[in-house]
Amino acid sequence: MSEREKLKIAEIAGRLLDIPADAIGKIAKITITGRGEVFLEEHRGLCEYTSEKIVVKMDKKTKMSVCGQELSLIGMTSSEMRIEGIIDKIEYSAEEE
Amino acid sequence: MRRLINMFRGSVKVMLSGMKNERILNLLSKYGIIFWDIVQMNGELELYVHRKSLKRLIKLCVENSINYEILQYRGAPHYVCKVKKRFILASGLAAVFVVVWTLSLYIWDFEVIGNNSVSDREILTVLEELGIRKGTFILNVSSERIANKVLLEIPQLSWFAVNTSGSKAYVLVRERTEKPDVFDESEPSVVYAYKSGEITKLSVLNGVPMVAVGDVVEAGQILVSGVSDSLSSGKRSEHAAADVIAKTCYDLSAQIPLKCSIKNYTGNKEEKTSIIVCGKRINLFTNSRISYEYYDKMTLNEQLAILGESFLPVSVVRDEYVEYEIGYTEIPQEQASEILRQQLTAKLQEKLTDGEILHTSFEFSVQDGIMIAVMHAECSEQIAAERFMTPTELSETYENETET
Repeated sequence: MSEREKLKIAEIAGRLLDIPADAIGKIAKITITGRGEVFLEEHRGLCEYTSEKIVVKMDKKTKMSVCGQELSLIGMTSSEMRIEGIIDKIEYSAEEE
Repeated sequence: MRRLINMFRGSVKVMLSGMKNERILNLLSKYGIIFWDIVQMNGELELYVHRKSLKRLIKLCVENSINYEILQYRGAPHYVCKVKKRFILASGLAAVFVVVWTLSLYIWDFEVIGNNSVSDREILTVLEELGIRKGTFILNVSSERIANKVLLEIPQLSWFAVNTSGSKAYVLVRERTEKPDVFDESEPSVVYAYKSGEITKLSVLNGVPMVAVGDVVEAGQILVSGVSDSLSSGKRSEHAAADVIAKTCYDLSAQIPLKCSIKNYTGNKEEKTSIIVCGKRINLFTNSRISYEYYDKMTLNEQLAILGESFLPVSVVRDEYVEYEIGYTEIPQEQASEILRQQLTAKLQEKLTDGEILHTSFEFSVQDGIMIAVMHAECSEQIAAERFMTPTELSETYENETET
């Protein structure tokens, strides 16, 4: 069973049993505090890093862009990441094959 | 908190380049190297890693052809490593710290606050008798314990406390306010002249006037009697009161030598420095002889203190000897007479408690190089004072009553 299938099953099981999906599988979790801080869990790495835009890979086919001003990466581990700055926009995009 | 932890753990600021910044960061996170405070500069990355992660970072850089440069070491471990190499310096610093800390636990300076009539020395002597002196352990100074004893020893004080700040003791005192003399206005009394003079104004508030305006009275003479006639009992005693203004005369004299010695400073000076440690003086000079015949000595005592609060038993004493030669100068007679004029006027003002100067005249003479001035002054002042009637005066009054 592929990882994608595992995640799909976890998502369905979570929905049926009323359990948060992030508690079952490795699904990215984003915590936004006000307009100044974004905390990411279970990310897959950094794709782009500038002071106006930080792009993070969330899974095999999804990317998340944090756009704003004076953005900076405060800290990063293999699974967690903290971004600070003035956040204007957060958007998801499908990764081009 | 994070900064504090990083300070204890130690951190290293590194600059990484040679690869896309995003890729470098991904590699670091993949290898489990924690990093923070990332700054991008001209395509290069500056970031902090823990001191312990530095070896792994270097290995990663070598394996992946990343250029690295260590910019700065920060935190306690870095300083400990530095100090380890200088053991003597470190132990010296530690010893100085221990000595200073130990000495700061003792009192080395006193400041007495709130006293006017009782001298600092008197208060400090009593404290010394109670065991509070320079070199006393701070915890042995209990304000409550000694306050009662000090108040008993110095009755002029009404309140006493000792506060310690660093190695300085602040002795706070409040002095007792003297009870004012209460003049019982129901007691029989007379008004007398406490100065001689010619009466110019007489206002009797109570009693029988014994003098009139224009009379010349002597000091001590009764001006208003406290014994008055009574229709029912013949004589009765009462409390006399009056305002009596009189013209008074003063003859005052003063003198000043017309030739006096002055100091002509030559500009030569010597400085000798000593250190006083726990009351023992250590001279930092070998020759204690002063080469000048006439000199002024100025002593500057600086007590060492930490942050201006904790005084240490170490003070630096600088004695400065300034040479002068004795010269003589003549004071011009006009200047001398002006000085004497001012002196005598000031003297007269002191003598006048409640009055004004009406007229003054001066006589100047010179004898053996000394100018003598005599001032004749006419003043207008209050000369009345009250006193209780003496037992004799009272008995005379009662005898007259009985006879009547």
